[in-house]
Amino acid sequence: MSHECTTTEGHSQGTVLLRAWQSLGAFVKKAALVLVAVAATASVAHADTLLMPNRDFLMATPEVVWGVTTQANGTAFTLDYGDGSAVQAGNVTDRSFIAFTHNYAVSGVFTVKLTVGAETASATVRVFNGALLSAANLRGLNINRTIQDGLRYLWTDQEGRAANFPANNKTNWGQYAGDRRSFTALAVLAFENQGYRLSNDDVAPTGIYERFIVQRGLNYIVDTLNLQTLNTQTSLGVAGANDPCVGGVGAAPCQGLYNADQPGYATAVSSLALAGSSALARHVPAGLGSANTNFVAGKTLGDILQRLMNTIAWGQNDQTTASVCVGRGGWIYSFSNNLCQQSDGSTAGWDILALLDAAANGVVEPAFVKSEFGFALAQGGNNSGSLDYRADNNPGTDGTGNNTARAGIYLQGLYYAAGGPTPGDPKVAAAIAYINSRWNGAFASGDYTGTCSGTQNKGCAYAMYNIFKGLKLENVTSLPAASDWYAEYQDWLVANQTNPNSTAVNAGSWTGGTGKTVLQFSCCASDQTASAAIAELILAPVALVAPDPTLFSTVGLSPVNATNPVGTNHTVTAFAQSSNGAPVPGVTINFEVLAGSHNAGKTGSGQTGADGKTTFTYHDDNGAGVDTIQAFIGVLGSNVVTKTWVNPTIACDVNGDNKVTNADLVLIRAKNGQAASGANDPFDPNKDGKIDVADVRYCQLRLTPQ
Amino acid sequence: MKTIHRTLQRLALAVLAATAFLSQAEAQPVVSISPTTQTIGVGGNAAVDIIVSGLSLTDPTGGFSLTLAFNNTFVSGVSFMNDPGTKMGAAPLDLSGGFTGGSLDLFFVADASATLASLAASEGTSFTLATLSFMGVAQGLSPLTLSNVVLSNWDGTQDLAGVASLNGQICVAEIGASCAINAIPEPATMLLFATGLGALALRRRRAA
Repeated sequence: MSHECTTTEGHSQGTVLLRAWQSLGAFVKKAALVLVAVAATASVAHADTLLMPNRDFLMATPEVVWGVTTQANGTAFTLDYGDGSAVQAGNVTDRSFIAFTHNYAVSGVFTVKLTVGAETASATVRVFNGALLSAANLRGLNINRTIQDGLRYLWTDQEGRAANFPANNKTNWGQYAGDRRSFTALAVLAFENQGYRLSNDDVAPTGIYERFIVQRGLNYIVDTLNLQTLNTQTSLGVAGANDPCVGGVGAAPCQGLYNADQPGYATAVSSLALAGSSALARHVPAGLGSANTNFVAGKTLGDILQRLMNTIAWGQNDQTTASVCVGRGGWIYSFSNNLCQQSDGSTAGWDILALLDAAANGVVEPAFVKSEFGFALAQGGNNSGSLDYRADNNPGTDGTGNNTARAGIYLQGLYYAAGGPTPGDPKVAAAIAYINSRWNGAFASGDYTGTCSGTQNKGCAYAMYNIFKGLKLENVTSLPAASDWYAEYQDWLVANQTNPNSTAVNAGSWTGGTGKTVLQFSCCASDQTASAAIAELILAPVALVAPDPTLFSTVGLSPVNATNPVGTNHTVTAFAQSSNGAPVPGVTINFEVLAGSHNAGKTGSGQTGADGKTTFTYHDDNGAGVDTIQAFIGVLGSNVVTKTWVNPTIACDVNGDNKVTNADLVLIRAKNGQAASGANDPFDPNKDGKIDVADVRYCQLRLTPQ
Repeated sequence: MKTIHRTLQRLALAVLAATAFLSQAEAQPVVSISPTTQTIGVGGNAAVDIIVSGLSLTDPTGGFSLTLAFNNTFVSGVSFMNDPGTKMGAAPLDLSGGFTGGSLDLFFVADASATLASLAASEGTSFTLATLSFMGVAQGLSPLTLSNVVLSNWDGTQDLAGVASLNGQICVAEIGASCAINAIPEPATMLLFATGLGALALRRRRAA
């Protein structure tokens, strides 16, 4: 594996995503919006037959419905889609993936039931009619579908899935053995990022992903960690203070742990999966720890995370002599063992994210880590806005390996060093400008083209993730080249998911296909597990609220009946509400005075506001008569309402409420200066052919006694 | 020539007689700006009355509406008060739109309890419809132009007929200076009166 070809190249850290959204002001609103709809775990009547999590589907589109059972293959099963269609029946052939495509012909909320033998599991699916959704909601629905289809791909992509299900208490991913531990951590992190986490105790998880992915994946991660005796940090120079066994954190502090894939970054990747579990009080089951003489068994995930972070802290590159040691305070593929090594920009990226995420979960970081890292940042940062792949201590040259991915890492490093976003920092501005100038994939002279085979941004998971992290951390929402860069990422990932509505191999991955672009992982180890995990770390679910067709067709338009004097205006209100009665904003509603009406052909349209409502006002131009009015969302019609136009029976009662009040005077005044529409115009009660102050005076003398 | 002079003399007398007759026996309402012209400085205030005259005691007004246009480059509208003398009753109905840009919209209806007799007694033949206040904002001449002037009769059954209007202007200038004053349009009866006076003057000069 070349220097650029490391697993490090593609890491992500969904937990940091969540933490960042929670902590960064600019994203609080978005986090609140998007995290609402994280699917809940499917309910199960019996523990050993499970369905996919609750999720959203698109009507009239093939969608994958699937589940698992711990019962033996060959057991009879039925799969009820809940929409009244024929029940799927047969015998289980692959108990780790009982999957079928189904086309829901109608929208609504349905309960799917998978029955295997005597056990039944159920899940709730919401099926949306795309024609009823606003463009924003349809986009959100497709994001949600992409997320769930991608997670299903990761489920199917487990190494030895069928053979290991359900007995093996560990699971892993990684077609590339050298990256297996790291990619497993990345995949686990992806599920955690989408809300599938463990409880912070030792209660056994029950959801399909929590039980069979997150728990078993974490088991694999801790089982394969290696022991690392921590060494002194000679850069610190002070005897005692530079010794982890003296100045370290926790019990037996110089006993660290590491991920042996490429320890300098892989340890950070493993740390991210642990920090993302939200279950640091959970104990590692007995018997685990094949690579560490069962050191981890019985310990909490929090203890293990602390030891991983201790390894990262005391593994920073050393300054061993007075001469310049380019890379002091950084990291490279192997932890520094009192050696002077160059700082590796891509490796450092994972360590920065691990430090941020671990700290957010209560892990204590020695104070020297950040100050020492400042040396590496200064020696690797360039005036151009890029970060050196190998620090050269020359900000005037980009050295080697510079591209947008490392500009994103540079932003992460600047954020970590400053302890928060620094929008006024010229280095931050330079890094953002560097990304912006290459947003559309163009390479500038001197850019490193080896990452993702010459793909600079979209289509390169490693670049996308580091740009995503860097811009989010620095609160950047818009670039000159991309008014909403995050939306572009989301849309790219939705558009390029491979065959998401299929049970076939690779369905839901990002491996290309007709009209699709492959999401490469990094330079050479293009592992699709890692690419899918990265996609899941970038995407976030969207809260969806769609109009309920039944409600709209029965009570969507009001008032049901109204009577007005001729020649006045009438206003009807359309109300789009979801099945639970919540208003649905952003829906385009068309109005029409129906054929056969007195004012047939009058039309209008509006978009519902935050209250789910929009109005249509029209004027009676044809005297007394009856109109029928209807509203439409696409082809869905509302109830039909009636408007009756009458000649007033009481002079001056222009608003038709059977009395003359100042309200009538105000209505007449509003028409001041107009010519009467005819001899019976109610606004011209003195019948002089013009509407003016005399008419108001005329009616004032005829006010109905109160 | 004497015949001509005599003819002119007779014509002038006839015009004056007709004018006098119109103004006394068949007086028609005139809504006018008062004072017609005034000069203020930048930042200074100008008080303007809108006055109706020529009302008939047998047909007082029960409401009025009008639009007053002004050049808001030079003056800005500060305030207005309809019927400052409470001639139209204690509880009138004010539906005025007020100042908008260079325009003032007034729409005012008398007290609902006001009767023909009470209105005639309080309004008389002339009263102030509204008092306005303007402030000078820049040097220049702002016309005060009335339009859409409507006077309702006392019970709203019809508009008062033949309502004329007399415009005004405000000059915003430095102290001691003046604007180029525009001619103030006059009502037809005043022109007729002036024609008569002119003819008489011509006759006397010729006679001398």
